[in-house]
Amino acid sequence: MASVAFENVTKQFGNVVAVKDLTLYIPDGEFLVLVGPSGCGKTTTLRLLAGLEEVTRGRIYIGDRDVTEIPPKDRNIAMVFQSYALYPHMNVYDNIAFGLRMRKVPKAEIERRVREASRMLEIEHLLDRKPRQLSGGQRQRVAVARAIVRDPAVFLFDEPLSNLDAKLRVQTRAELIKLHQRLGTTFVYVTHDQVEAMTMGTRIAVMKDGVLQQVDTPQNLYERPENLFVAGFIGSPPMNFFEARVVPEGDGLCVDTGAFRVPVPPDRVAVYRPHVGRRVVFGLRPEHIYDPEYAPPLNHPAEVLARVDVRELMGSEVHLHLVADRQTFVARVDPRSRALVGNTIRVLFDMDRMHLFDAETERAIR
Amino acid sequence: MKIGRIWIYIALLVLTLFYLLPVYILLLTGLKSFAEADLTRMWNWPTQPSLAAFAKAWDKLSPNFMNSVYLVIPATLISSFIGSINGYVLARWRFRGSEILFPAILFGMFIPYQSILIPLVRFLQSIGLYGSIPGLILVHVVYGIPITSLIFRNYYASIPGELVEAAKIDGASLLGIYRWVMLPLSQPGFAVVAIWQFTQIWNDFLFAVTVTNKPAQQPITVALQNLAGSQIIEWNVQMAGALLAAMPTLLVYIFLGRFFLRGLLAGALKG
Repeated sequence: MASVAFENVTKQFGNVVAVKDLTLYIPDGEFLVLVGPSGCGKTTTLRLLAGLEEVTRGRIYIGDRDVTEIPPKDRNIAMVFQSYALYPHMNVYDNIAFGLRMRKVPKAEIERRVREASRMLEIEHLLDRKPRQLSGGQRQRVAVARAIVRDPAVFLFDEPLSNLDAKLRVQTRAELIKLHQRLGTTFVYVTHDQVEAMTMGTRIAVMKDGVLQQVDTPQNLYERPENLFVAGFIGSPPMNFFEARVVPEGDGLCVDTGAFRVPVPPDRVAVYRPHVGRRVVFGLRPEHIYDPEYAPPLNHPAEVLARVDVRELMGSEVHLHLVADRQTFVARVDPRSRALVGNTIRVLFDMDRMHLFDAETERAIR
Repeated sequence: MKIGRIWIYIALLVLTLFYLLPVYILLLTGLKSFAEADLTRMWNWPTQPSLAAFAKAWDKLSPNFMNSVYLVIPATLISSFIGSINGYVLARWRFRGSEILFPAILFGMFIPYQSILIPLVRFLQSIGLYGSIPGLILVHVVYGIPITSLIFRNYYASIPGELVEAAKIDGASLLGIYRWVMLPLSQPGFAVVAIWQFTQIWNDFLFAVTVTNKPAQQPITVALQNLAGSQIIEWNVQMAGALLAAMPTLLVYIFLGRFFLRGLLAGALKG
């Protein structure tokens, strides 16, 4: 068990900067998810921590130990690869035991630990099989067993669910969460899937172009994204963005997108006032736009007229693709909504959930 | 489409027959008696097919046949193994100068053998291996390194890098990864390299005739050439001997060829 710290870590491949000046502290026992679009540097970050890549600048610590120059085998980590990377010529038992054998653990002890790990992952009946005789889900379990059998200080996961089908993925997600609770060890988990990140992480680190954008709890990332990128990345369907200006209206303020004007809730007026007249981006999540007929009581609703362009029934909800003037946006509304394609309807914006970003810096205005 | 297919088969069949024709003559003549084996009756069937020519050829060639065996087995094994280690290091480890080392090793393939024969003989004389099978083994091992290294490098490059990384994290050293992960996965690579080396070394004539001067040390390719007397050539025995000399490479293809097709890596990655 150990904490992990990145201190000003930069990794360059030739002229390409894969990770830029990353500083990140992961407390002992945390389930940290590194998330971002492909090429954002999340996998490189994980590989730097594993020791599979060497840092260009900066230091990496596991616990109190500076591991920057230490080879992977001496870092006391275990890793589950995206492809699982099971040794194809060894049976499941030998795959799990390999790391212990390399470390000269006594035979009886190996036997005991392999049994224990395979019991925990319910693969005891597969110990004699070769990897090619296993299903994708079983291979995944073997890969996890191979990691936990060594009882490492930190577990690294590189998109371990991406090769599973949708149903198995949801199931395995829950199992990994349970495993983390049971082991209490630090997990560092890489994924490009924001749903995975939201459901699994104690905290989530969002990366883009090698730069860490924000590290926070799933709740805070969702409610208080620090910039446009994080706001658009977390949440599905993504947050609606409108280019807009803040304009005074009476004592208060309005957001004017050109297509519609909506009032700023009074408690935010003071914060937004310095931005009057400047270009801003107004953000509102699809789930905070309501069909008036099924809207809950809202403190600061704002009415907007829009034409229904596409209606997608998801079962538990309906996604309405709406057009107001030249602005398009998505609303996640009650499935009983009677809005039909082609209709012009009234929708309610829950202005207490609005986000405002500086159009230049793309940072949230708070 | 169907018609096109038929034409392709016909063309292939004709080419195969053309290619096998010398083998047919070889076999036919080998089964004939000395009197029958002449140019005018080349296409005729033997009146009394007999294996006498084969027996005679074997009688004369068997010591040299065994020389070839003693040469080809160690030379193939050693050069394959060295190629395997080279290929592993070149495919999986970056070190200072590795970009220069690989082309330098490959360069060995492009040196014409004829150009180095004299220094080669002098060298073998000075280390006391000239004229011996061990000397010939050394030559073939050294000359095998470029091609065996190249084949193994490409083979190991096709083994997923994550396997090596998993082994690194599991605590295996550079040699440990080779011993426990790469080597057990090398069967198809070894099959390809062994077939290649076996054929090259067995069929080699130039090095053999240069390095071995005494008949007792000569491999079969040289002995076969010497089977022809200076006055008369027993064509039936000559042909039978040629067929005997060609037999081992044929058998190697038949028995090891199937390893080409083995997908040993199935199951290493996602399924």
